[in-house]
Amino acid sequence: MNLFLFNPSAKKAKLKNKIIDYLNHLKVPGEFIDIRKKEDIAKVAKEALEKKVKNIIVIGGDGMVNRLIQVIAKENVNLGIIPIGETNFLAHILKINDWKKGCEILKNPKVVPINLGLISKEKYFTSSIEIEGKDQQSKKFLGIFSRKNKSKYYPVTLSVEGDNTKFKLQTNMSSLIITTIPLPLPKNFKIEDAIDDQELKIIIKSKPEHKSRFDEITTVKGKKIEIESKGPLYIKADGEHSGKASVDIEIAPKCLNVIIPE
Amino acid sequence: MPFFKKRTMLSQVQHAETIVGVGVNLSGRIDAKQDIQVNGTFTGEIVAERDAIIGDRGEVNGPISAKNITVAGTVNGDINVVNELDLLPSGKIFGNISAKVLSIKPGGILNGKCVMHAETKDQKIVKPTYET
Repeated sequence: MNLFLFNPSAKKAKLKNKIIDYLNHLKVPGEFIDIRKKEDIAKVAKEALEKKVKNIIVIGGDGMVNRLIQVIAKENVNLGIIPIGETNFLAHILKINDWKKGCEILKNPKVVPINLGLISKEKYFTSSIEIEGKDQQSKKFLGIFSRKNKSKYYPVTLSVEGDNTKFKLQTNMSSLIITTIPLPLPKNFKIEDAIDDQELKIIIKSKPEHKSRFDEITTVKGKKIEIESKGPLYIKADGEHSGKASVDIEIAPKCLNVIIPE
Repeated sequence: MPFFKKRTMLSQVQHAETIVGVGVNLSGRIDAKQDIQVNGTFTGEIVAERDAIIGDRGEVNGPISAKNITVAGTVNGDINVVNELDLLPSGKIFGNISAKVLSIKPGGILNGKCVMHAETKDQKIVKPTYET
């Protein structure tokens, strides 16, 4: 059975009727639920699990997917995506490039288990988290002009562990990204190839030496990362704000079943 | 906006799987399945299944084992190479080395013992034994 969760506030929400018509044309049955509040996703997902729904399909973007996976990770249910809205990075990785493709693959779904990331043993993310120490808000000057704060560099220590790897990294960072997939994405990237590479990739931007215009880039890999910082760190998981703290991040291998193209 | 920022940063990422940027300090052990490039400071052991590059501002304090190694910075430790060790003019090695092929460019400094090993069938990284 298919359960479609629709985000009516997503950009291109007017596509809903077109999507329904197309699914009917493809003879893909299912039940539609409009998710008016983000908090309702968890409630609906739990009810779907109790009813033993086979496929839960998100008609929306990364934010909606991120909220859903907090409930369905490690459960016996498949995630489908019909991408609409502003950010659809997971759909892009899975090669579901538009809503039509998302509908078509439901006819004969191919399911693979993918790796997720886990923040502080409680919050999952599908593809990446961004961590910044800089103040994002602009300040008003003389009550009139708004001026963005200059980029700041924050001292951080990362403790990274892998199979035969264990090291500490210290730097003054401006931002870092931790991903479950290789970035930049290789040309012929397939999610199936990334599943066995059960390591997180870490890309850090840090203070340049001397008078260089560009920040230094450091890239490392590991299965578990602890991040310590004296100042607050602002965390965004799959584009959603996830708080600020010193954190630990680890790979959660093969814990989400997703529907992908053949 | 966040997605745009991510793309700008990623365009600067080079080809090596592990890159230590200038001004970044690492300590511990790294086991790299792909290439590794050190432009910052690393204290500990590096084991790379492919190539290791020590940039001109890079410093490694500890042993390095790799398939091919290029040194343009400073290495305080023993180096064990399956194939070629390339010491560039700005490079300094203070430690013993073992390689099949050794290239020292004018200006490069090597202070240590050097063992040139014959081609091995399985091409595995083998730690050298030195007479004491």
